[in-house]
Amino acid sequence: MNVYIKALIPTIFVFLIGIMIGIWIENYRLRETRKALSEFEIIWNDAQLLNKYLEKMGNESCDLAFQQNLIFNDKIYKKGLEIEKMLKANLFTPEIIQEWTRYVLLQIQFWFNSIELRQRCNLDYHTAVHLYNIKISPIEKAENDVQSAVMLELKYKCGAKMMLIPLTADVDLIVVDSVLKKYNITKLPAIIIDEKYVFQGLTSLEQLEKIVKC
Amino acid sequence: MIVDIIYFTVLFVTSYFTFFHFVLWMENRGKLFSKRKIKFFPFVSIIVPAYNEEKVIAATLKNALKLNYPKNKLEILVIDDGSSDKTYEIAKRFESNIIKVYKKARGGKANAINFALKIAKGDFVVIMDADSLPYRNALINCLKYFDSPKVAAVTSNILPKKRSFLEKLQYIELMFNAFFRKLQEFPNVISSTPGPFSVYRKEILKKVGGFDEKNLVEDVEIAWRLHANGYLTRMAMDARVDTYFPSTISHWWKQRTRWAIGNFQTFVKYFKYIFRKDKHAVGRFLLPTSLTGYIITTFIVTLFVYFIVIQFSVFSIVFIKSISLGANPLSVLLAGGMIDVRIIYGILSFLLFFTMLKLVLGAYRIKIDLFHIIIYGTLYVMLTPFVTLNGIYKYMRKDFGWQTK
Repeated sequence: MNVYIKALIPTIFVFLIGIMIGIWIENYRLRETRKALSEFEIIWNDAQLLNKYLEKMGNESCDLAFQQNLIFNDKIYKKGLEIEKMLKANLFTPEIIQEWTRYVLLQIQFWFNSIELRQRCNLDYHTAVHLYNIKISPIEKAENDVQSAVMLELKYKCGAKMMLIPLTADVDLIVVDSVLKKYNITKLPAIIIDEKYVFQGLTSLEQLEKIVKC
Repeated sequence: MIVDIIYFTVLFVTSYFTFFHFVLWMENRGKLFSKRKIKFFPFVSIIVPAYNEEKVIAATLKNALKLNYPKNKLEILVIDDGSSDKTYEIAKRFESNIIKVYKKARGGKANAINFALKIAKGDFVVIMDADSLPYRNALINCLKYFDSPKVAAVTSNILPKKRSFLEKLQYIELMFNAFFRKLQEFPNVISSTPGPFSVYRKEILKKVGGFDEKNLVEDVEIAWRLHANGYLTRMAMDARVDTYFPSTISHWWKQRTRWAIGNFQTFVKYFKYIFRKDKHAVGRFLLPTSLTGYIITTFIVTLFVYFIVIQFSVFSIVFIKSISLGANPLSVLLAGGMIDVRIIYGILSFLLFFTMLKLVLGAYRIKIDLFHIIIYGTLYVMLTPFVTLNGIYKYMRKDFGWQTK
């Protein structure tokens, strides 16, 4: 066997090792994400039952429901950040898109639940829905990251007085399309505050604070 | 997706060449520094082409006279190639039975060598730069490798004389080059017979037409021509030669651009031989690897520029817009990413490269601090593709009149 072939064998071997480790890490992350989202779905079902219970039994558990909502908001937001990074990092596991869709659905349910809870329990908090695309260029992604940082800043200031709901617009979900249509959103990122105020394009903290008073 | 394909291609090809040399090392490691005995003492002509070398010529000649070789079988021909300084006058002071000094109109290094080839008496000629300082046994150690009439040239182990920061980086580079040249001896694919000190069989040199006077790296071109004509070249690791290398970035850039232009000239000149087995190493190795090298170089520069432009744009957007919108730019910039297959394969390739580097340093038994190794393995190596592309660009524009030798 000549030296050219002899060199090719370990080169292919190292290449395959690299790819295999990559695939293994991606699959591991995918499994963990599936597990986490399944846990969220359980928490979510619990929260929905609590809502139904409130409907039937009165409002004495409003505080508990509100606390549950806050915890859920915090946890799912952090998980969302992780899955978003995975979308960029995972090359060989396109199934991650499905997990992302599951995540978006949970966020929408959480949004609707937050609206319902605020009305039923007469609670005083804002909902801030941050709509953005994920299948975008690095420059657009940078702009969106800035908007995310603005939203996070607002969340730090408001704490429990604001529910932050990031939603991806470019997922194949009818409900998302309906939201975009209802609020006549043509430019992203966009922010919907308390289902009344809509900001399209990059929005400053100052502009948001005029509406969101914490 | 295209960026990923380019990235993986670059890493795959560079890993292949690392393994290629690694396999050669595995198979021949016992022969790298093997000692040979000289069987004959032929008449040798040392040709020293000199152009404006008044600062170094005296030391070079004094050093050449100390070479461990019978003085009655040695001549040193200094060819002053139209210097405007006192090179000729200084060299003239050394004239003797051994040293002969000639002055001619400026015609370039290859022209000076061809001039000397006509008057050289030796069966073997050494082409030695005017600032090269061979060790005492360098000549004898090279001659030991002319063990077959097919061996046309033997190259030496050249390292920088001084050790400024830039020279230390070049020191590592030249160790690599010498080590790889030695490994390339085994499949007979040595790509150059470096100008600082290489020994040739005069008869073969004349037969193939002497040095190409239009080429900016005549030492590479001649090696390719010897291969194309079916001759062999060897590398004597024990023939140590010190020489001066650029100590400033601007000189380095100028020298490397000249090399890049010359290499591309050679590539273009012989491209018609690509994949031709009857052209030996030129057809089956030197041209295909050069072509791959040029493609990879273009890929690396494209990737680099892409990442720099994108990262700069991202950084600017994040920084400027975060401040104007009231967010903390650090929270965005420090968000980071996730380890992925690109990073893993990149790490594996770098580990491979540094293993090879350690192997070379181990073979030389030389200690170089980690800082220089890291700078060499990252920043310095990254500069090479840019010089190569600059050279090709200048070649295309025929813009190399300023490149003096």
